[in-house]
Amino acid sequence: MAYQVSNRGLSPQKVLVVRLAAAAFLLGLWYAAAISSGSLFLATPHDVIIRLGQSMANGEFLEYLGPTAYILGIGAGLGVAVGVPLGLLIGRFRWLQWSTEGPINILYTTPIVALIPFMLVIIGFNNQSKILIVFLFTVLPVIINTAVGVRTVDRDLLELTKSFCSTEGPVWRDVLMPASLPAVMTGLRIGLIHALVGAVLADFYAGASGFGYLIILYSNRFDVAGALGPVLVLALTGTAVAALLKNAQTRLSPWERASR
Amino acid sequence: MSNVNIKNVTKHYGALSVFDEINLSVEDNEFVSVLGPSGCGKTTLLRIVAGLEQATSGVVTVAGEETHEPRPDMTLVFQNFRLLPWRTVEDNVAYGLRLRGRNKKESRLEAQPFVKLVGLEGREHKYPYQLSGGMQQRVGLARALAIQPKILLMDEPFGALDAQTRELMQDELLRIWLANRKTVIFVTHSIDEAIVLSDRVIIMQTNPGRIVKDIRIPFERPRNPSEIRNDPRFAKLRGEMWSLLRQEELAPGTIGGVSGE
Repeated sequence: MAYQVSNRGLSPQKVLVVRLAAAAFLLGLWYAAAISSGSLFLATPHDVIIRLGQSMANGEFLEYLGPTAYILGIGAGLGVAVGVPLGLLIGRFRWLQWSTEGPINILYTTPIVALIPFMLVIIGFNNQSKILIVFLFTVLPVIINTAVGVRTVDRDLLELTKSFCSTEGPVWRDVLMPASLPAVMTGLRIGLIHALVGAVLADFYAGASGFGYLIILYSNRFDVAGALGPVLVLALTGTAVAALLKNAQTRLSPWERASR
Repeated sequence: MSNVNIKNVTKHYGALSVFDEINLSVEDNEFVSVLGPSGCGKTTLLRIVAGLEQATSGVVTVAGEETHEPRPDMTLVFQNFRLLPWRTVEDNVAYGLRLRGRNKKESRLEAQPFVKLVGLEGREHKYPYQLSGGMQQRVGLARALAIQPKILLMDEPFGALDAQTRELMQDELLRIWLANRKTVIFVTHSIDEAIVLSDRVIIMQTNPGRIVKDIRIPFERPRNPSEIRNDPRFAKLRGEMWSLLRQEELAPGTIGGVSGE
């Protein structure tokens, strides 16, 4: 993958040291910024952690996390369940690509944030609209990446299947599915990170519940350390999801690793 | 019956003529090489026989039947191997068998002798990226042989290999073909390779692509390639073929034929 940073023969230890040093540097910047700007604007990392601990201990954290986790699970789940098969079909069948390309591109380039108020008005300030928002955030990158994965399958291998008189089913099993797997995983990675963004935005707009609302709640109380806690958790969740999927991708497609 | 007949086959891409009215007949269990410079359309001709491309006019018959698409009793070995990167050696060899209805276990069992035949025993569980080019083409060859085709089409199969590996593979192919005779059409641009392997060598020239000579190779089988290469008849054949291909090079107005076959 193009954005995979190659180790270029450096030992894993050295890579780890560089990574840790970069993290320490960023943490230092955070401290410097927090101290120089004052606690009203930016809290120091340890304040954030302490407030996060308190918010977890008094139950607020989980109370607000629950609804968002529920919406995220259903919305992103549906997004993946619809996006992967649809992307596979769009990638394989030209007529389907031609008929869906326009709408998908329009929807993808439209900031979905801008549609949120309309959806809330039409569907209502409820879980259904929140789920729809998360779904839309997830499904588009999944469709697009999956379709590209199928469409860019090595033509020579498709010709091989033809020369062996393969029927459509085995072409999927033998070539299309394994060949598009890395792109599907990339789609999942981007889709799930977008889902997190969608879930928090849905909470922001629909209000009164959810993890996103907790951020607003603390901000309105000028509790900067409190508000940054959920943000930190979201950031770490996104990173963890991306890393897990990256890892799964490498294990599921060893031939890719070799060609890097 | 596994004879191949190419009758008046013409191939044009729009206004561009690749070749006109090619006629070639290959007998049952005959090993025929098609030798020519790049651009003479030899690969296109083979792809038409394989059913991967359509002739502009003319017909190809296999065992008396007109052929327009790939046949289950005919298989093609590609220059660029075309192995499935996500399958092990044994599963790549078993590929065609699975397409013919065997389950995973049966196909592996049935593929095993072919893995052995091409000398890849012990490497069954390797992936293509763990193999050298020569070994990858052994897998390609085993995959083609495993479905026990009557006709084997080979499109410069050793063209991507280094010189020594290439000669080794020629020896292997001779040995395999002798033990398991079938009709072979072998496209190459190597004169030596064509002489060592074939019963007949068809010489093509470019612009327009055409057959200029059909040469019978007199060497007895089983053949020993290194002996053949030292035989005076080999030098004579080589000289004859070289002059035919060279004429092409020297003839005026033939530069810039169809490239990229």
